[in-house]
Amino acid sequence: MSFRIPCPQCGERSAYEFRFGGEVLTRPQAGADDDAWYHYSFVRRNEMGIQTEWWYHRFGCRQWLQAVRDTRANRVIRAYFPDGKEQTDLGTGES
Amino acid sequence: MTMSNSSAVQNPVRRRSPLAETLEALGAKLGDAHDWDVALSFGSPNEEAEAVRQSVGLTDLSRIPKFDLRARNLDPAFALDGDARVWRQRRGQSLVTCSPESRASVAAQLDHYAASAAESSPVYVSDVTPVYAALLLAGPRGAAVIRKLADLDLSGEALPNLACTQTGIHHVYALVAREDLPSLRAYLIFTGREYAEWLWETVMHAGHEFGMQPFGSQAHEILGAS
Amino acid sequence: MRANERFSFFFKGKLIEARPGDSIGAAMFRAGVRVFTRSFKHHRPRGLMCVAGNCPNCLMNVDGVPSVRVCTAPARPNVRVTPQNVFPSLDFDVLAASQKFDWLMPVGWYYKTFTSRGAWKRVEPWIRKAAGLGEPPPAMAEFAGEAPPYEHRYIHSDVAIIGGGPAGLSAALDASQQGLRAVLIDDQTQLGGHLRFTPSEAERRDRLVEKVLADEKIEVLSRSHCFGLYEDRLLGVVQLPCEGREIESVAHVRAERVVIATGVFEAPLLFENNDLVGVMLSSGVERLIGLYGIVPGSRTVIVGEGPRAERIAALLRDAGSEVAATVRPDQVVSASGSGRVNGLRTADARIACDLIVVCGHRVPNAGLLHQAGAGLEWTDEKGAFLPTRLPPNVEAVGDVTGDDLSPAVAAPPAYPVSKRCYTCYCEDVTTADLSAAIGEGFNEIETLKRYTTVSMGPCQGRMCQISAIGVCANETGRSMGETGVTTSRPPNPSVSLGALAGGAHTPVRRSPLHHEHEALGVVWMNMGEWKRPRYYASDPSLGERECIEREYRAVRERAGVVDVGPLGKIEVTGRDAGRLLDKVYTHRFGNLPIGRVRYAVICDETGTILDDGTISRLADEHYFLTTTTGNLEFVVQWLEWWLIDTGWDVHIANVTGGRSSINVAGPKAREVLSALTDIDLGTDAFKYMACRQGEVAGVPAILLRIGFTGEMGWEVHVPADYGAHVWKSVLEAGRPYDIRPFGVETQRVLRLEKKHVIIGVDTDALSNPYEADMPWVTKLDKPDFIGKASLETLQSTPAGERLIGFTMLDAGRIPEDGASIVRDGEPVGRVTSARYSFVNKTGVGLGWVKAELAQEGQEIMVRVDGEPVRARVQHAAFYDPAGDRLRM
Repeated sequence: MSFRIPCPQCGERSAYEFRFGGEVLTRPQAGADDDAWYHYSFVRRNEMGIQTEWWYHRFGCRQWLQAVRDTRANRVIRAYFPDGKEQTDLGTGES
Repeated sequence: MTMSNSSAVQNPVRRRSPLAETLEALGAKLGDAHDWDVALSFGSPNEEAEAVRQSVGLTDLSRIPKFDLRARNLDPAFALDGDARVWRQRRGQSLVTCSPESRASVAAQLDHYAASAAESSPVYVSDVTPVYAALLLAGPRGAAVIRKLADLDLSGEALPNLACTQTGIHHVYALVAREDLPSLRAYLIFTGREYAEWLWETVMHAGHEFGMQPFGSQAHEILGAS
Repeated sequence: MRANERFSFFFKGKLIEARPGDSIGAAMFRAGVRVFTRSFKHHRPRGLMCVAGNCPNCLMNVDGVPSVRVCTAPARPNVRVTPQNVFPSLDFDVLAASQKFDWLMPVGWYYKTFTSRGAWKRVEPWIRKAAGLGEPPPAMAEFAGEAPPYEHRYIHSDVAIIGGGPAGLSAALDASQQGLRAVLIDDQTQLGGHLRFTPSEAERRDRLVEKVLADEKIEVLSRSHCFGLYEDRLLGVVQLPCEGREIESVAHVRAERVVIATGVFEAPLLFENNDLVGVMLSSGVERLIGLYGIVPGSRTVIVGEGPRAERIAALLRDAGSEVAATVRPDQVVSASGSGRVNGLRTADARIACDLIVVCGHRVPNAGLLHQAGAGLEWTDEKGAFLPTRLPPNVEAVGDVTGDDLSPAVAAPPAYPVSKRCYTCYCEDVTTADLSAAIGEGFNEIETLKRYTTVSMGPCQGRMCQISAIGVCANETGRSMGETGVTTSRPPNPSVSLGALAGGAHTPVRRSPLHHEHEALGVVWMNMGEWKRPRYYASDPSLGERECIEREYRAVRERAGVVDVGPLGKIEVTGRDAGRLLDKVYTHRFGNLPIGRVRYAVICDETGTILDDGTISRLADEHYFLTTTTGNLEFVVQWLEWWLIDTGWDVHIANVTGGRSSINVAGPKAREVLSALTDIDLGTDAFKYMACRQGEVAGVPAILLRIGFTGEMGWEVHVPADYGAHVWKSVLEAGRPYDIRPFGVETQRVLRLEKKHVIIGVDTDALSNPYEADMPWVTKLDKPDFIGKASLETLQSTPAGERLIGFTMLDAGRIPEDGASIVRDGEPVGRVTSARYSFVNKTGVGLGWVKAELAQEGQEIMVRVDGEPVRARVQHAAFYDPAGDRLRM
């Protein structure tokens, strides 16, 4: 595992600086049924393809960010703060 | 809300750097500076300064005042007068450092800034001097030493003077700030105080190849520290 | 040492003279050494073959480092070189007799022979000894003040070029001209690749190398092997010791663009006895002559044809060797000689010679490209697998692209199926072995590799892969392309484990009181990265248990002080601080009065307990949190995570290292601290679970009155720079009460007697507050919080297991942490903590049992030293169950 994550503050950094925080999910509203909580707590899509994930820049700016990763190529395409205010694309020259 | 003076006590209790024992074991001559025990020199300040100019040296600056500045909408361009430096750690948080001499004036500026903040966007200041250890790595080989510790691009464009970056040194969080001495490259490395002795040893090992030696506050002054 | 001065080193106790620029192997060869190693399995003598650091024929021990390729390792004065894999010596090896019995151990023989575990256990050490390569170096001693023997570096560059031949040098200069930073990685001591030993190219080489070395934008790493090309262009590079750098290091090179200019290497051809000492590759001979001025034979036979064979013949003649014949590869029957070459047999003649030069396959060195995802496609007219479909931002230039290649032999080649025709020199795999394995059904190149270990030795397939594919193709009637290549994986080439591990720099966290503990005779224990006092061996005449009992009695009877610096400490400030704590913790904190402390538990969404600690409200918008030592970072990240998207004004600051924290506990704690502070510590003025800010020993402090130990006590937090001062002041103020510092072990006994759980020790990833016997920490009537939905369900679900306390009914028996709790020989639970209780005078503990066994007074059986021992369930604390002593 040596891919890089383009941290909106720190720039492109090795994935080893980050803590993985799982797929981005939507928390059920208070009072949602058991099925909703079950899916939120235990069921993961584990997408073969593009998925959006939480990453925490532990050895960097110490902020949570979201990254869009292609799990097949293990390549992060884009990363941004959850409020979407700052964002960087990985400049790989690829489409 | 201001807390910048919460640990600025008016009493004779001396403050002890986390590296006091390490420096004593290395033969440092200790002296007083602003209520801190400081390593003045390890023998000859002139020789220490020359070794830094020729290659690289390391000194303990854990005593420098440090303030944690927080606000949800902190202006990324926020700056202070005098020798105070504002190291931006992340959105809404910066680490402010200054020389021990300007501690009071910087604290006052920060308190004023906090007091005049808009009601909707409060500013919080706290003294974090004891939270961080600080090492100063000075000399032309400093970047070569850091290359052995952290996955950082230290080329001039990537980290110009008075810029900072954050990293992991053997998976320990560190803030690396470039604050050159007159015509001499220098980096400040901040890490959690509890790691101070380990970090000192680790940096010294990395510098062994370049003949790195510790230097004291007197050599630091010769090199042009304010 | 002057540039032209000769020097010497040791080989088997004798001095070997070396010239400047010599490799160890070259100097030894010049001194007459011909046998450099014994082969892996058959212990056949082997000598220099490739002289490029590819083949396994010159692996030796140099100054204690095993498996050094001496053909390329620079000679240095006074190094000690010893052979490896020899019993007892290079020239006479008893295990060479094994080749007489090799019918007893064909490929796969140990898979088939030692099928019972006992048999394998007995023979394994012998097989390892006989088959292993070299001895590991002695354990890395602690190094104090010295440079570590290994280290890592990080290099960032615009372009990384691998290969210091003409293509790589040109690529580096091109990059620099474009204003880019370049790092040039070359595995040899001197740049120039094959230009170094091609006399007609000397001038071109000097010109290129001079320009590269003078260019400030180009960083050159010599003696450096790139062993892996990973995602997003991370290159793993190992740099071997060389002039001016005694340290073996690994460089992590990150580049925006990678240029592979690794050229070609030469691989041997298949004929009988092709491994005899004196059979060399043509490029090896070129190197010996061109780099070291050594002519390796006096009478030579060349195996090859065309311009390459003619060029080698001319080179040898010019150097003074007689070229007896040039033989086409398909005419060769065998090399002859006993250990050393003395001739070459063809179908109709035997030509006497002392050197056979093989013009072998020229193989693109494309392993890195293949690793990185490029394809390798067979091309008949080049006689090689050529790289195709390169990954983005990775380029190939120069000979590795195959532009300049022509086949050395027909493909697939002809060869004898023989036990003396070596395909793989590393592992002694012969054409007979491959043929037999294919006959057994291992007819795919990947399974053939795994079964026979062909291409799995130190050369990583460089010498054997092309031949093995040829044999596989031939035996199965397929083409080279259909047979295909095996997957390339890092490391290519091999890297020492020491280099990968780097120096020993495991982070250590030290409390501000570290040196105070040392002065008190501390016995340390590691808790994560922290050093913590386990106990104080203050009196050398006392054993561990006596020391701990003394510390224990001080706390229960008088006063004790413990360093709790490693406790996680977090300040939470801001207008919405209370709202965030209400959302994340299970209890209420928005309504916590200023000056009060509350026990605090975090659960995840499934209701599992994640952490516990205390929360103190210091001011309206200012909370002070403590967490368990190990979960501090997690809690900070968890709080930050739940703050996202709320728009709340909350700031979370980890101040752990900035505070020196101690707990002064015991019936005399009030007297001790009162001597140091003006704060009223009276029973009513400073109640249990209250907090105050003020001065202690003249420095600012936060005091929390809590009772982890079960006695009256205060946790005192001061700025770390004053920690030692406050610690010493407390010990001084406590002297009239015979106060004692106590360690983690005493603290564990004290808390266990109070049945205070440690999260992560007494709970695990399935523990919820109901089963853990602490339902009071959840406030299900407050609005939504993390875990609420699950906790509501769990509250009404019958417990499966429960956390219980127990006392041992046999006072002398204390179970170990983790011991099983059994019924009728079946496990029904487990012990999480157990210690001897000085007050109960028996063992007490915490553990999990099936819910039906959790009744008060229930007798259970706990395993101690493998035997079930009786114990009784107890829900109340073992010491002061009413908590009166906490509130005094």
